[in-house]
Amino acid sequence: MKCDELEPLRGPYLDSELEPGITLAVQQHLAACPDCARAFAEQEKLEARITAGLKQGQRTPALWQKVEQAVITGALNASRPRLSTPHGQPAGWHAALSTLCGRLQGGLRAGPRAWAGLAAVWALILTLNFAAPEADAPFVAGPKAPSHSEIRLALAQKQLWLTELAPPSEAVPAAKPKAASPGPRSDRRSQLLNS
Amino acid sequence: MSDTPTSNADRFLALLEPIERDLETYCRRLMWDPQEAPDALQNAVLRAFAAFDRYREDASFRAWMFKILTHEAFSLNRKHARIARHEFQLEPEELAALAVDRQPDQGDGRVFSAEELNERLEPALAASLKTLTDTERAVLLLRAMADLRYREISESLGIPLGSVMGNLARARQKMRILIARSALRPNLPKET
Repeated sequence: MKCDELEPLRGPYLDSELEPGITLAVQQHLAACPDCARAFAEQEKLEARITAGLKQGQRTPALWQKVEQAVITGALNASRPRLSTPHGQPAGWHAALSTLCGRLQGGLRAGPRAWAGLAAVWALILTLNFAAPEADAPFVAGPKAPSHSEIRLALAQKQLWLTELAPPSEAVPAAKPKAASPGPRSDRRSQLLNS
Repeated sequence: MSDTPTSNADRFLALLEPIERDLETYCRRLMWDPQEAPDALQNAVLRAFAAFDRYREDASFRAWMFKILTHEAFSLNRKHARIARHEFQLEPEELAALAVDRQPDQGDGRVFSAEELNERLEPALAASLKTLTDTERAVLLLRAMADLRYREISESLGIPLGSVMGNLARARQKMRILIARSALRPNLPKET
């Protein structure tokens, strides 16, 4: 093994990640090459210093107390019975409606039997609708309705009865004589003077 | 064992407790905005608990949790995707000076103490993590902080094993370069 071949193996060798055979070859080279041995030793010390520096740190008790409390709270919430459905829908009529729709959808997805059942229901509804007698419709004339001439005769008879029952009407007052148009002012003055 | 929700929660929290610190540190490192780390953590834990029924007992709970947290952090990080990333061009002398054993002196012959080095390292780490892509950062952190094997990282992120190795190599190289720069130039302004 040559010196330049050793360069990329430094890190994995120091991390004990090399195959046993390669590790042995590296060790043999280091035993024979003081330059490489010194370079490896220097890197090992520097890595150790960096690692020690990186590991410097404190545990913050308040932070972990908060985190642990959050975990416990989450566990307790998970153990309580749910008031809502798994999909976050509110309980009550909305949930019941959703469940019904879901079941209907599930039934329709079940296969051709569900579709056949639905078709049978529709056929039954249509049959009953056409077979049943017509209900009394208040605005439609039935078969026993009077003809137009009968209606006209009945109306004329009713009008006659009303005329007979009504009180006799008063005589119309005579029209007042129309006032003569005033004469000229000079005529009236002469009449006054004469009188 | 009963399967009531509360017993599930007890079992889940018992598994979670030993890795809480690692999860939080990982999350703060992985997020573009560390202020969002609490939200990411809470979301990830609640998501994991909701899926706990599907968790297999023989699987690594640690790897499973880191996987969920990684995806949560990625989704929150997406809004920062347009943040410009730095380009790295190292000078040859900088590349030659990556020896980390040598503690740089401060000009008066005094060397940095371990605490001072750590103080200097932290902002450099935070700044250099921001220069990585999401995948590079996640691979690096899952390896360095979660101690996951390459195959576990591959499964967690849903990327091939070769991509894990490639991303890890690139991430480490960028980190080494930036850390070395920071060590070589003690007066550089700290990146936030």
